[in-house]
Amino acid sequence: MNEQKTINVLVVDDHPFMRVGVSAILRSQSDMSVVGEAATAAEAIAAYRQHVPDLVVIDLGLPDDSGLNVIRTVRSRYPNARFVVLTNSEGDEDIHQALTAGALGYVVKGMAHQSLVEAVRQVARGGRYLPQPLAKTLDMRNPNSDLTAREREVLAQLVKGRSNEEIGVALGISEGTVKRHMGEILSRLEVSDRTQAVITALRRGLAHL
Amino acid sequence: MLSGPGRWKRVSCILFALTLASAGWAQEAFSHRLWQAADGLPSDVVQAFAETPDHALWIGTTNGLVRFDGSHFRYYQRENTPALGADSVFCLTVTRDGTLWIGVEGGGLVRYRDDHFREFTALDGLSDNVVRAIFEDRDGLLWVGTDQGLFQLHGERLVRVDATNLIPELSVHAITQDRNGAIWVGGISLVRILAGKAQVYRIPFRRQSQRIKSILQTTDGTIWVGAVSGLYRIAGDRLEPVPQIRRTVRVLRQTRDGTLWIGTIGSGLYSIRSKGEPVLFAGGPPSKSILNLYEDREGNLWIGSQIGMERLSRSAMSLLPLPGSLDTDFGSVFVDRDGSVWACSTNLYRERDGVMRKEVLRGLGGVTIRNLLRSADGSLWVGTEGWGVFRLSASAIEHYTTAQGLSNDFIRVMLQDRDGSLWVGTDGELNHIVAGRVTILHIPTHVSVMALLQDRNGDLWVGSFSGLFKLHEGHWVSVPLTASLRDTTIWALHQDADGTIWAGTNRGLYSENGNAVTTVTTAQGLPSHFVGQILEDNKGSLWVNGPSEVARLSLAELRALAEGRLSRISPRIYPVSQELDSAEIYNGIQPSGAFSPNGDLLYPGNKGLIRIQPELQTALPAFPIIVESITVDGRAIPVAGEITLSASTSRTEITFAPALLGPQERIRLRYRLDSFDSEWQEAGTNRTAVYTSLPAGRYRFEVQAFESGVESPVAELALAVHRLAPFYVRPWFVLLVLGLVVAIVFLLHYLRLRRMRERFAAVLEERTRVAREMHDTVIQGCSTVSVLLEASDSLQGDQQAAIELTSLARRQIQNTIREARQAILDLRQPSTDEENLVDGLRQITEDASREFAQSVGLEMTGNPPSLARSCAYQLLMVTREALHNALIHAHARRVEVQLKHEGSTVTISVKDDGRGLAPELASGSEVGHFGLKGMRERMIQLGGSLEIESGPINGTVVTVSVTNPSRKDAKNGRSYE
Repeated sequence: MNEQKTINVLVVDDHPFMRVGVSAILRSQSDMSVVGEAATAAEAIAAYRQHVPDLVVIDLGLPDDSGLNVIRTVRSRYPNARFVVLTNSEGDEDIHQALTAGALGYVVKGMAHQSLVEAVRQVARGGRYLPQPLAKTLDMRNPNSDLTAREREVLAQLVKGRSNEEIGVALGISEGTVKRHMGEILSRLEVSDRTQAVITALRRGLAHL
Repeated sequence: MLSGPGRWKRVSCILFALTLASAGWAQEAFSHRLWQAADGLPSDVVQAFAETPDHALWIGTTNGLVRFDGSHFRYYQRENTPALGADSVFCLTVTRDGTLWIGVEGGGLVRYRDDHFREFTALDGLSDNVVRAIFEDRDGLLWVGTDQGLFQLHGERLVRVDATNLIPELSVHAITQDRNGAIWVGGISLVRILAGKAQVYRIPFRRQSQRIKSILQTTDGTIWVGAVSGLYRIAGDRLEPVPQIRRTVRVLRQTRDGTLWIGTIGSGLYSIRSKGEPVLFAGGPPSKSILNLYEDREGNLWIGSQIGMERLSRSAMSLLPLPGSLDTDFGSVFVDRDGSVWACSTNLYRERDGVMRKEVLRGLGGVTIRNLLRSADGSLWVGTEGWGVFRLSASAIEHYTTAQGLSNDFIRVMLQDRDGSLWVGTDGELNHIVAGRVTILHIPTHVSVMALLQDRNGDLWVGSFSGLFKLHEGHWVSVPLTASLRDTTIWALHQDADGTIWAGTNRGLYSENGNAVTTVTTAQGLPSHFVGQILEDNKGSLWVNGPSEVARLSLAELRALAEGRLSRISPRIYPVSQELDSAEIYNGIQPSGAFSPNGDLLYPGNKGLIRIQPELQTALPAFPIIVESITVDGRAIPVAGEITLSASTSRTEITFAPALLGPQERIRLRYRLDSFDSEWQEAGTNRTAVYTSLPAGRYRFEVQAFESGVESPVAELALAVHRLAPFYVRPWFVLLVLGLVVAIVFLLHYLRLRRMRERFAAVLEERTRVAREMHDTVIQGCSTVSVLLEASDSLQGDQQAAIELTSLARRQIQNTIREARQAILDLRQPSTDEENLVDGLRQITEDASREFAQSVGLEMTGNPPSLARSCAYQLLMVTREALHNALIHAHARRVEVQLKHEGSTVTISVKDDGRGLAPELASGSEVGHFGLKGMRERMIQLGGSLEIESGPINGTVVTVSVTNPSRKDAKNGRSYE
């Protein structure tokens, strides 16, 4: 029955105009209040500590670290911390990773502002928010496509356009090991070559530009 | 019954009884062959013989051991065979297991087995090293006799068995075993050892030093003892001398025909047949000192002497010497009707008791007689050299010369006509003597008459030095044969039993039968194109001869040839010159060949009469053909199994020979390399096959031996030859090349894949870059605008805030458009790793000047920095933002951009003289001025800094700086100093 209780929100996004927009949307809601803004992961964690908001709207792509890590870090200390991810990515892996990290809502930038408002509200109420198209995407996700941390690193290097040799040098492993990882990545992503792997990785959010 | 001269040539054996027994060595004809040091023997003194199972004869000389395979000698001397110890090989024995035992004077006993020599010396129990006799008894026990002691071989050890109380001390020269098993040992004494006990025989002393040199039991049981003082027989317990032989008997040997041969020192070789008296053998070697005798398996008798070794081989050919005859250039032979043989040469000879003896015809002393003819009335016609013709009868001598009308006094041929008159062919023209009157018949060519024949029709055939002519009823007539033989020298004429006329010419054998002329030359198998005489036996053969050989031709074959049923005849050839010491047959004076009463053929020759006894022609013993050596590019390789030739082989020589110790002249060899040679190659005297440029593959080298007159081969040899392919056609190489090709294909494929991958990677990189640009500009911008508009939309009440948000959205859109345009511009320019900061700044300032219609200064100090693309891009973005801020908000008159490059720090400052920023804007905390905050964040990302100095009077200076920017991004960056 605490309908009128104001939801204190922390907005984390590296883009200033974006923060302005998000904050404006949230402020326009009578039951929401933007208690702080942060542009980087470090700022976000500090701001959370400072404000301990009811909810954090967070972008995954931050200049200094991934938003996921912010979620994990914060939730490791504040297990009840609630996060709504607001990002450009519609990839199943990003959604999956975000939800795995503890995000309760996931909204893609460009959706109508009601989605964000709805997400904030539902999550603040203790629910989850995942719009139908995203839920569908997530359902399509091949549960077998979990990559190990090493494989993700390799994939990330691959997305940068690097050769096996360069990846080996970058990761401090032998080219043979890179190849082995690559084989595993191709099979897990159910693709036949590196180009497709990159496209798939980007599409699904397994790696980012 | 034939009439005319042919009758004399076809002597019947029935008329004259065969009186001589033909069995046995002594009566047989031999071919001789003598080898001396000049012929390859290491020494003239040949002391020992033995034959090993490999068809080799081993010869012991005073200068080493020799192996003879019938063709070549191989030498074993101390130099190359240290086991021999000394070079004088005194005795040789081959034991039943095929081992050769060698007794060396001063070198002990040597065993040769499996290509290995092993010496037995004092260390092996042989206390004396002068080995004189080696003997294997019927139990296989080996006895070794030396100058001091008799030994038995037990295992590998020699045990002395004499100088005991049972056997006295012995000096041994000969050992044998009698049919009772007793061992006879001769030397200084003669003992008979039976059951380990010796019986000593007393030797009658004739000389100071009596010694036994040889002992032999002949098949009749007689034990013969050869001693320095002569030959003895054992009679009871004493030695009975054979009185005819009083010289040292060095060797006793019985040949398989039963003849006992006795080799003496000083008086040559004797033989005793069937208990007869010893007879001196005339056909032995020229030496009087016979050192050894040996009959090999083929039946050749080998005689070792002081002047070499001689081989006696049974032969159908032999020489009847004409004593005192000079080596003239003519000769004829005439068999009289009483069977006696006449030979005309320098002297006249007549055979008596198997020996040719000089004969002088009454009244014809000093006359050189060329030929004889017995007239039907018993008178003897004598043709001479320059003396015309004599007719000797019991009562008178008639003489016909040019004085009596003879055309020429040199007589070549005489023929008695069936009417009793005589035809005389001379060195010029033909004469006819009828009842003491001579008429000359001028033959068309006026040359020497060489041969005469009266055929069954009574027509006379005249063979001349230049053409054949036929006289029919007093007129010269032309027939196909005379037409064929125009200008040809005719040596012999003959009419065979069937009536065919044969002409022997210098161009082959011609015949005419029913107007058809047949020619037989070397092409049809004749051994020589020269046919000097034609004889016919009663066994269906024609005998023709050239100067060096006689050939027996089958009339049946000749008929088949004439009828075209046969292309080649296979005559039996008697190589006279090869087997009879280079003897040569004379032709040109008739008769130049005749049958003796007992069927032998007789020919005049330069070394006497040549006799061929066809019935003595024995079959060749069986023999193998052996490969003597194989030489590959000048290097001998072992002769064993298959020959494998490497790919690099260029020349291969295979030398082969019949393993025949006897005369090989009758043997013809041919060879071929199957699947290389298309035809058989005749080996001739050079028994080496040479192959060059042999293609790789498997071959069969084959040799066949033929005996003359025998159609099927008598011996054959086959040898596998494998020439390896050059490496470039061998399977492994082909596989290697294929593998290489596959590898290259794979490599090319891989390279192509890699190129494609690289292209893909480039495409991917470009795509990624485009995507990143899109993400950084359009997506980011649009989503921001979207959120701003959404926010604006959500602010129903607050118009002011909504306007502000819309304004922000407008600015964001402008920025986004600008950034997207810039991104497209970047895409249009060739992508490089570096962004030229200086050019970028120029572009930005120019663009800004143009856009805002206000001049913007650009000042640069220090070297133009070379920065990583991303770094330069960020700096340019920040600079542009600052520039736009200054141009839009500051209301400045002057805006200036400064680029400073000091050390590793790049500093860009944007300076204006405008109204300055509000302090809270400069700190970036105010919501409205998001640009500054964005700029600062960009710089933080870059690892650089952004400072703003701003005042209302001095305007604003935005300074961005970055240090060591290259390390930020290893991939896109290049080191920046």
